[in-house]
Amino acid sequence: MRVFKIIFLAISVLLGVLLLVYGIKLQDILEVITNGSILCLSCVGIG
Amino acid sequence: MEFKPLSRLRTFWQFVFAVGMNGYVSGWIFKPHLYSGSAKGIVPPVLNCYACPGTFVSCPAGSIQHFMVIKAIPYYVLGLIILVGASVGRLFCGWACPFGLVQDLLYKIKTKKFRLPRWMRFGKYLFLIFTVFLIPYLISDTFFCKLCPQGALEGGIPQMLLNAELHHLAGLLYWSKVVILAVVVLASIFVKRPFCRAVCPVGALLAPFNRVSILQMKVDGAACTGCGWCQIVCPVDINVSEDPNSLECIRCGLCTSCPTSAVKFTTIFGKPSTLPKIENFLKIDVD
Repeated sequence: MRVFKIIFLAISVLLGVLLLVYGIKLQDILEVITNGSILCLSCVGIG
Repeated sequence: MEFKPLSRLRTFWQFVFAVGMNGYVSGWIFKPHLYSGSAKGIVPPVLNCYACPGTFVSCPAGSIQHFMVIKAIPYYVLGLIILVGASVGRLFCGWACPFGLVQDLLYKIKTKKFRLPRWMRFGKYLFLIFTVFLIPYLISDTFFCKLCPQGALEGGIPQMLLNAELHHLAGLLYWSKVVILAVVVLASIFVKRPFCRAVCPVGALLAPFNRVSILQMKVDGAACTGCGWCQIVCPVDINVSEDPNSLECIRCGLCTSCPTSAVKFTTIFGKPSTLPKIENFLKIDVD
């Protein structure tokens, strides 16, 4: 059972790294910064 | 039995994270404006509203919704959450989430307590799928944010208090959010972390990793007497002796105050985690 868990963990880490690197390559961070810097009207409850 | 030292240590770190993530003084004091520096690119795996006047970081639920709205896959945010989940499971829910801290503090109010029905824990997965991914994609709007009580607490109410120009915009949506927040606050007095267990989409994203994360909980079956202490102290009401790596576990470590030391932090590789050092903070006195 633990072997399966470790395999799943390894796949998760690999997937996480791939997504993270690909996201950084696509400039997702810039998109996150831009979005986070604009007042979220839904969060405030006015739009 | 005494488990307060660890409990206090956790509360201390929860405050450190809450203040650290929302400590942009300029946003709180001067004419309301949001921090827009590079730290906003950090997406901590906790529910921390990015409409909060003092926040330095972005909200994972809000960021994912934004990517859904612009019809893009949130590679970076998902990658970050998967890596955190694979490493420590829901540890951040227990030690860093500001809304978790609010609920933990409210539950300390001495009154009659109730248990959350078990079926309600599935609610958070529905909230994640529908209100964070599906509906924002379909309607091109951040739907979960419209319901989020943390948004009302950290974003809506402070923004309204600090920014008089927004007052005339407070309508049905704003007051609905305030009512939702009031319901969550009220529920948190009577039930352990109701929002985290039944609604939180960030918790739902991290939860599946509890089973396979590097950091694990372990119960020594021979030492466990089945006294139920672990469930009493657990902030999410898990019977740790039955399911130490439950999807609900927020890795707070309070169950390691077990009177027979049956519950321990470990790693998936079977080696003791370095985290048991926090047990040094414990002084267990059995009455």
